[in-house]
Amino acid sequence: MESKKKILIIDDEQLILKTTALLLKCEGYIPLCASDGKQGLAVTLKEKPDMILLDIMMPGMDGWEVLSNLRSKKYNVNTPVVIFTAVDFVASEKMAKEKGAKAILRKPFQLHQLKTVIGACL
Amino acid sequence: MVEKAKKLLSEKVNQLHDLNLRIRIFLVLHLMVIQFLILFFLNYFNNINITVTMINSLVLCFILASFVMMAFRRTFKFGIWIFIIATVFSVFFISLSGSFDIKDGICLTVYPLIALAILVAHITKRRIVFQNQLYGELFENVPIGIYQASMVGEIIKVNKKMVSIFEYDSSESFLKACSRTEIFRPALLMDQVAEIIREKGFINGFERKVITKSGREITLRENIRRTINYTLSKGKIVFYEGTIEDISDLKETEEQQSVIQNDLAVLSTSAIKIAASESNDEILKVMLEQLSVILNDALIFVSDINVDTLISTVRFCSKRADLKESEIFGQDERFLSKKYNVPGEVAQNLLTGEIITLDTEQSRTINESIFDNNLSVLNKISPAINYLMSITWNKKVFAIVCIIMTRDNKLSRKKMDVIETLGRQIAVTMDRNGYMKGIKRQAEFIELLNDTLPVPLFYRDRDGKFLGCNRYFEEFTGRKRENLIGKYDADILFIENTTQNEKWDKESFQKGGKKVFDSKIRRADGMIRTATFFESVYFNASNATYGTIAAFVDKTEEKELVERLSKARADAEAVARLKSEFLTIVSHEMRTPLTTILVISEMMQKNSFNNISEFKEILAEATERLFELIDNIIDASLMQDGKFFIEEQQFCPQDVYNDLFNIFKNVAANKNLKFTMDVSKDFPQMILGDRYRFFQILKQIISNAIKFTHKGEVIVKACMDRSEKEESKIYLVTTVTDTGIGIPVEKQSSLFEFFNQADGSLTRGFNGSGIGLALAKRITELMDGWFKLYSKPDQGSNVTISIPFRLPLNKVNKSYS
Repeated sequence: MESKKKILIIDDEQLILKTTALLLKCEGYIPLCASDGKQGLAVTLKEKPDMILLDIMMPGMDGWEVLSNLRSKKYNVNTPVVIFTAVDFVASEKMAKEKGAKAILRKPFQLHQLKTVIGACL
Repeated sequence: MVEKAKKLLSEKVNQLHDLNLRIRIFLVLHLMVIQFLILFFLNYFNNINITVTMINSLVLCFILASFVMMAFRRTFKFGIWIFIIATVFSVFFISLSGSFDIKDGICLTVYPLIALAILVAHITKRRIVFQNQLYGELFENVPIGIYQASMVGEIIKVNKKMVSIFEYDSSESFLKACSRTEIFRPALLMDQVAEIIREKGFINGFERKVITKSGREITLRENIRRTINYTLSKGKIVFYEGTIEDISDLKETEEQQSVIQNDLAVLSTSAIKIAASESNDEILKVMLEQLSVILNDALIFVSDINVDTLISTVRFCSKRADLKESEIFGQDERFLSKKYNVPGEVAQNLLTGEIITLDTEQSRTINESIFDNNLSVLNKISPAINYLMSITWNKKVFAIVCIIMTRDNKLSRKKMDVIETLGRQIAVTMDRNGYMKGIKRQAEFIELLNDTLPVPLFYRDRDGKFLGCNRYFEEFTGRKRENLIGKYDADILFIENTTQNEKWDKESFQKGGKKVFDSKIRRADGMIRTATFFESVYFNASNATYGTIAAFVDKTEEKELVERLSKARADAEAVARLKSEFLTIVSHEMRTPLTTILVISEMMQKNSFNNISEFKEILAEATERLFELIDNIIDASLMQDGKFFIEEQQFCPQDVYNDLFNIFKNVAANKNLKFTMDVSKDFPQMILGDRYRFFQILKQIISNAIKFTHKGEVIVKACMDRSEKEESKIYLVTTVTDTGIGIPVEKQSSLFEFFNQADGSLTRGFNGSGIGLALAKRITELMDGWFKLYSKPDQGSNVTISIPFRLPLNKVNKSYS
């Protein structure tokens, strides 16, 4: 039996955090929550999650910045990242590929979509 | 003695000098004879030795030479002297020879003297004869008439000229005629003349008129003098001598000259009158008047002419004393506008402006047509010679002048010249008048055009000095043009002191360019306006740059309009952009709770959850968020449409705060935030106002505070103010303080502009919560309250709102009691 995978969720929306966390828990993953970019980076370094679900629109440091930081030499984290976006899907998809995100999910996403993405990443 | 003799001699010699050749030859011959006789006698009576003979011969040579010299007028005098000296020398030498006795002496001295005496007497006689001859010739041949009259005035002698002046054939017939008739009565018989002659001895330049043989009257100028014979009968008047000259021609010339001078005076006065005339009709009247002066016995008509049909219409006519107006014009009909035909054959020549003499037939036709066979007039003016002349210049015929000479006398060429000159003068003036009128009309046209143009227009000289403007310019500047002329730019119109030099480059100014520029100007009411100027250079008659004409259009309103329009467009664009942003935000806002709802509902279908209460809670929160969002959108939309209304009902303010505390205490607790609410105890039990909106405002502010505060606390304080003016009015003042992320100052003002979230980052930064805060502020204001935000990034925010409420009437007293 392989150990449970850790999945970090970075989103300023408490509701999303709660929902996703609950969902992941039900699916048998260990959800980690961060409500902003700084916290997310800190958790990444500390917990070394197997996968990151990252929201783009956040106060302070936005999702793209977080992703750039993760891929920078300082952090050098290659953890697969899935982008959450609420707006402008086409532009975000292009950006996501450039920045090295694994996939992109458009809010509101559905359970099966999330499962497919997680399956692809882990 | 000798001196006296010498003087006498030289006197005589001088007299001799005047003699003519014949007399000189005669004299020489005389002297030769005398000399010969002397020598003969000397040789005969004496036996003169050879020496004396030799000397004598020498003297003889001199004497012969003197004869030769005397033959010539130039050497005559000298010859006489040589002769005398030679004679004296010969006598002297002969006496020296010793064979000289008294008899010889007498011979030698007396002979020459006798000879000289004979000579002089002879010469004198000859001279008188000659002079008489000379006078006789002179008398007959001089080109002036001479007569001699006796003391009693009887004509004794007349010369040829005198006879011819009186047109007689010979002096005898004239003298006969004079003795019989009074054809010529010497002036000296007139008392006055006689007196003058008695006193002065002569009279000169006496003029009188006489009638010649043929009956012609001539003018004579007469000079008369007394002739006194001093030699024969001392001091006695022998006769009177008079000279006469026929000065008729001279007189006539003088008269003509005075006529010409008179005509010239007429011409010059007419020139003055013409210059003073304003209309062409007046000029024609002047001409008629002047012609009447020049031709005082003629009838003159000035008429229009129809060049095509050659029909003239009389416009003005002269009057004549001996022809009454009614006679000419008929009893009651004015003569003016009488028509008559110009003979076709003279029409061609008429255009030259020269006087045309009509023949008898033509004259008769015209006269009859003018006077309508009015026989009394025709008889009076008949026989008449008509003249036609056109007033023409520059191939234009202005009028026809018809002159009817009512006596049988012709116009002299000089008169014709004068009349033609006058006609030409008139024609030129009328032509110029027409031209001037054209120019005047043109000027009037330009002025009208100027004043009709609905734009202000003005013109200046090259130095920028105002020369004139139109009506609209006067209106614009509020000044009359007479006050504007001579002023400069800055005094009147322009605010910026622009000169021609600055606005125009030299070359285009001199060549005459056009220019369009904008400038600020001052209107009559002092308002500063922006106008677009259209300026052109114009030139004077000598082609030098004279100045500029400028018109301008007030573009201020247009500019304002353009500005307003561009602002409106920008606003509209901003609104459109904001709308789309709003949609983005709203859709983003909606996606969060929708995600929760979607995911959970999917899980519920699969029954793949174990903690149902947790799901319930999340679902409720999601639903609440969605509901709140939709509420806000509806409110915002209502407000934008102006359909947002504040209602009034009684409610307990304390309850509102309690409800809010209950809602947010858990939310705050979940975020580990300290949440306190401090509500003043003196709140009235009930107040009147919109409870729902009041609750909505406070909820929005507190929710926002909690949302953006991640650690620290959120404090709500509420208190009450009473209105000083109105007893029933209270203010509920609520302050919400947090230690959240805060809002940068530059974003605070834009935050409250409805939906105006300046950029995407703001949208991201507040996650669309701007709507809520803006909505809260707007509702506060709609409830007549005020809303204040103090915030510093990373230090937190402080929102204070004050909303007025009314106390229910029955509560007022209670609260005071």
